[in-house]
Amino acid sequence: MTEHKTKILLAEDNDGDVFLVRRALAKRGLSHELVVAHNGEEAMTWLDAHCGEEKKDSAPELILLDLNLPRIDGAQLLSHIRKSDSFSRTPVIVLTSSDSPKDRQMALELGANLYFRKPTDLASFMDLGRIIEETLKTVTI
Amino acid sequence: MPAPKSRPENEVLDEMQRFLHAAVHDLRAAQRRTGIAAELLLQAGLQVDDKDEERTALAAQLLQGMAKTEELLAGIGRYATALTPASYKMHSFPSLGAVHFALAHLDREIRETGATVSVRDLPEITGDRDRLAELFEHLIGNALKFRGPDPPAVEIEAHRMPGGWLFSVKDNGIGIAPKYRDRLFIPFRRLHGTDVPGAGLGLAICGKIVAAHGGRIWIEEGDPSGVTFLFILPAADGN
Repeated sequence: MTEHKTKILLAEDNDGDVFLVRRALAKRGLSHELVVAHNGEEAMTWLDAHCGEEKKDSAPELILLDLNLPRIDGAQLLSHIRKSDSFSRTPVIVLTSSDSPKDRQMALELGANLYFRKPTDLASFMDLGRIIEETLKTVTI
Repeated sequence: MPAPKSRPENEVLDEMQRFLHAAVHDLRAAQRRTGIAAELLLQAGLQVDDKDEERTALAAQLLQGMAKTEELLAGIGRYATALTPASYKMHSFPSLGAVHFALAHLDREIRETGATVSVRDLPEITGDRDRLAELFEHLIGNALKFRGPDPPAVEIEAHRMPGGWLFSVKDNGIGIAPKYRDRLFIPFRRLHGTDVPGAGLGLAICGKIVAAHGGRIWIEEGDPSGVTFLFILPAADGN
């Protein structure tokens, strides 16, 4: 039996942060398939192409998004995700460098499950992998 | 030559604050990859197992983080230089000279991309030649960077207007969707990810340079493919 690979969509423009997320997932030993969108427009286009009943198998089980995205920003993307039929219940972790409480509040109000500041040291980096794993566990229950 | 209008102090301070926040954001991102890669590399280096692939990848992250930080700092320095009109050295000179300076700096990229830059009858103007060379370098450099499948072809022209000259720099590259055009001159605002080189300041710097010369820069409407930048520069003294 092939191991289930959790499909994760990452909307992130910074290639250094994409590397960090990949590393965090690898360190956790999570079997996954990571789809990366480099801006909000790319993420929206991809989601629109993977929604609907017939596309359920290819839909993401988790979405990680940065608030600061080129073209269409993270807030607009998050809003779009929560308004869609296919992804309104998909867990979303906002992964951002913003430490502004207003951004945190806005993200949670727009329907993000979690707001996580991008790691700046090894300890917070290890936390990222743990948080992703825990979020996925709460979904499968 | 018309002096740039002075702006209300609050407006200037707001702009500076936004700039600094965006600069810090991008610098922190570069620092993040460097710092965590460094810690992981030290950790990986202590393992007995063969971790060569991981070490190589982490070392690459370290170097890229440092290079990106340097790129951002260099860009911020150029922005600061472009910022204050009082520091500009204005004199009358042939604008073709500024274009030649730009082409000399872009020599390698022009050869590598097989680009052609055609120039038509450029006039004498009044301005800071070094700053204007930088302006052309950013615009032509962008045309090379955001090229389409064909070798880049850049056309530079100037048309006489009341009080100055309307320059156009037109390319045959991937173009910019109209909905994103108004935000292009904002510092650090990008349409592409950080894997595309650059600090995200080139067009913001161009905006400041043109403003210091009393003009403005914008993108021509229409243009189904490629981009045409338009900007006005003052005529030579006495013209």
